[in-house]
Amino acid sequence: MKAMRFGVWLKVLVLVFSGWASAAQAAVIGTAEHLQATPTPAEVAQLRESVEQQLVRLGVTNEDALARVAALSRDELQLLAEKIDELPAGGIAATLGVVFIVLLILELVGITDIFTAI
Amino acid sequence: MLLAVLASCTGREIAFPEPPATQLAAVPFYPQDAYQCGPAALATVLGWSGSDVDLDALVSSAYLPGRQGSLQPEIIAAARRAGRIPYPIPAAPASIGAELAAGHPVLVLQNLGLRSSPRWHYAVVVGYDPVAGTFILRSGTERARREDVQRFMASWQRADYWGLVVLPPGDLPASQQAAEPLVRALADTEAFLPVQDALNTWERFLTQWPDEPDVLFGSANARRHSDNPASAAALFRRLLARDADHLAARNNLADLLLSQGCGQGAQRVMADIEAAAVPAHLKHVIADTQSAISRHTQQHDSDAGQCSDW
Repeated sequence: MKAMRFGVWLKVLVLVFSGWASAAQAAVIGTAEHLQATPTPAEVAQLRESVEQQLVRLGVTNEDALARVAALSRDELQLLAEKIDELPAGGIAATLGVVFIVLLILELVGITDIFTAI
Repeated sequence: MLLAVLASCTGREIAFPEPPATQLAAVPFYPQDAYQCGPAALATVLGWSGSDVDLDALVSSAYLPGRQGSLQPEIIAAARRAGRIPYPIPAAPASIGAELAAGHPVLVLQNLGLRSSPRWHYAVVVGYDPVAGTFILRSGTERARREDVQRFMASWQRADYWGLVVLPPGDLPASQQAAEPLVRALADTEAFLPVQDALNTWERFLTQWPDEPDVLFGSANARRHSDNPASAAALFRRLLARDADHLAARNNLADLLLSQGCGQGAQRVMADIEAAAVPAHLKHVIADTQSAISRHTQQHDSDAGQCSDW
């Protein structure tokens, strides 16, 4: 717990010094912040930490997870923090068993469009 | 009996303005691996936009092994990291036709299954054939997959008409007339763009929406960031002439003036700001600016000569 809090505050420092405010000065309000009435850097750091942990849980390396959260807007971070297991994951997995039969029928009737040969 | 019930479920046709006959042959093809249609689709539009494509990097940016696919916010983030602005298109049937008419391929999410049993897939729409009644897509392992218009629309409708365009720097989406979503897309991408690309896009927005407060604010910030303080100050003043209470603009103009040695000018800009009127998320920044101004004016009796021009 202490280690996690330290990690969060370290990232706050990184955020502040890495130009979160979109210009070199810490006393400037960046455009993205202005548009979203962004919470404090500490809140964003916490969101990033949370999403990072979820990404790692879902098989992303620590290094990649860090880079991925840095490119997400505050709203996107919020969405992932809440719904990472439910959001559509585009990938078109294979279909099996009963579901296959149902989908085959639907394909023949013209409702779905999964199978390329039909 | 079952087939009759199913047939009645095909439902209404989706109406939309017919796109022009299009075949964007210059759009490259990146066949997908396994569950990686997201990175492949993104590679396709990035390559078309003139960006160098590193497919492995896109997979590391967007593929989520535990979900066997890629999530929409991460597709967007991956485009940013590749140095392009991902512009969402309006969630409506007419959007694809508008983009195709402008020669822009469209990255879409489709649900190739049912709402109750979804099969999510990313593909890129690169054409429309009015004679055959099909859209043409770069999809999966097919360079020119043809999908019946209504089937495609139904699959796209089940994905809530989600799509994006990724364009060469300076180009704008054809389907989006409102400033706000474009401004938001740029603001969220800026940190990953070369300074000049960001500035050029802001200037393009400014030409199109010269009185829009968020465009003025974003452009002023971009000019300052690209070392054009005088023209940045001019835009902040233009914005404040329309909206004297725009606290973020006052703050940033004051900070700019201070950086140019114009402490008294900065003080005038920040004068009469009531603490109670400052929203919570701005309190810290505004206090910092006010402190910096106090420190400066304590040390300097008057402003530098050129400050009267600002």
